[in-house]
Amino acid sequence: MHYAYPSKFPLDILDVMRERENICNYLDMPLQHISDNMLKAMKRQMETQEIYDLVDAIRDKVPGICLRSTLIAGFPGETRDDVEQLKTFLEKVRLDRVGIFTYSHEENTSAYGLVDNIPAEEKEARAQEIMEVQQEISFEKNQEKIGNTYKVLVDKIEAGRYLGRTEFDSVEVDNEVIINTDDELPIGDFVNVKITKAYDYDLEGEIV
Amino acid sequence: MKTKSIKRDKVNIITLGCSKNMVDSEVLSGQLNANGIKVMHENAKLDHNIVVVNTCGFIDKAKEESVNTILEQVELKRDGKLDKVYVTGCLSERYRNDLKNEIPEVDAWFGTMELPLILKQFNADYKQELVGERLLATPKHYAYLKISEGCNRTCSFCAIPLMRGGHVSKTIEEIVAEAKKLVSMGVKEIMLIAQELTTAWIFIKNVH
Repeated sequence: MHYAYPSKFPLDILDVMRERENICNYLDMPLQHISDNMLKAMKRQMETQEIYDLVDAIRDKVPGICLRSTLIAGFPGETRDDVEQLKTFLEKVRLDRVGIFTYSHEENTSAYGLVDNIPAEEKEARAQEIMEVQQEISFEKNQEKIGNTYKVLVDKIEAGRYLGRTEFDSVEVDNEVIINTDDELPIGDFVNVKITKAYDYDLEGEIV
Repeated sequence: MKTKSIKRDKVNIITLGCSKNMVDSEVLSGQLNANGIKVMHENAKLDHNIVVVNTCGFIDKAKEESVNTILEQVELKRDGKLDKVYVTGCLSERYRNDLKNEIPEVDAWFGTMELPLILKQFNADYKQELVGERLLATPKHYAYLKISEGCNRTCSFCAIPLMRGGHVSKTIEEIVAEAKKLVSMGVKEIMLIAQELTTAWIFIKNVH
């Protein structure tokens, strides 16, 4: 599911996600930032603590849910403290996946009236800095999957290897599972795969 | 008696940007197909004579990619390899007036809410009864399902409401019908998408 908005998020719909076998436990919720300074400037209708609480509440509702989010680096007026708060947030809540955009100054938006004061290189550097924090977390989270068995949807065959995805991985943006097998697998079928290796953004395993 | 062979039009749709845009391309191709017009997504064989570029206008990099794609297609038209180039989607919605002047070789420009007008350009009719009828651009085992359009939030950085308008949810009946249709086509995984899912869920909950 892409993309849920955090403010006024109806938590009770997650009961359905938890209870139904056929709904992937997956939610993509762009949070954009975490500091009160930035949330206010971005007009996100939420405060820092509310976002922390929301992430907890979502995980209480659906244990093991895959939470993906996207963030913006270099919004007008973003301070070093804002960047640090964002890194701390990522370290504390350990989201499953994060994408990051550098701020783009768009005409006819209300932020266009602000001064786009952060140079392009600095925006890139901040995005990189924040992503490095997450990369470590994504790597560790993938390591934790070694030895587990997942139901995997076989997507395609590439360079002689089958690639698929678990319910925690959406198309194009998330992990792919490299499926090691000597058998022929029909594309679009589900198979059970035991994970044997894990990388930053991919998994590898064998059919069980 | 000699018969003059009439070349039949073949349309290629090039989609840029997000999965919501891809769904729009799938709906357009479904409608063209139902009107007896040959249509492909990202046709690699290059045996088409008409191109529709479905653009993205979200941030700088995306806009640049869209403009470059339009220019490539215009170049092909200039070389006699294409008869017509049409442009639709978010970039066109947002900057149509400027672009018309900048790239006059484009045969027609359309906004994001002008599907019937695009069809008219092909002497085709918008068929209301075809709701949910799409020529999928994804592999046949997964598909996107757009449950709402537009966004009422007022995030200061975001240009999406300028291009997609205010929030409009589909009804649960429409969503279920479309999901069933996808399943009957062999789809195993449906990804629920929207510019803003939260408001769509609140809407659906309030109605039921």
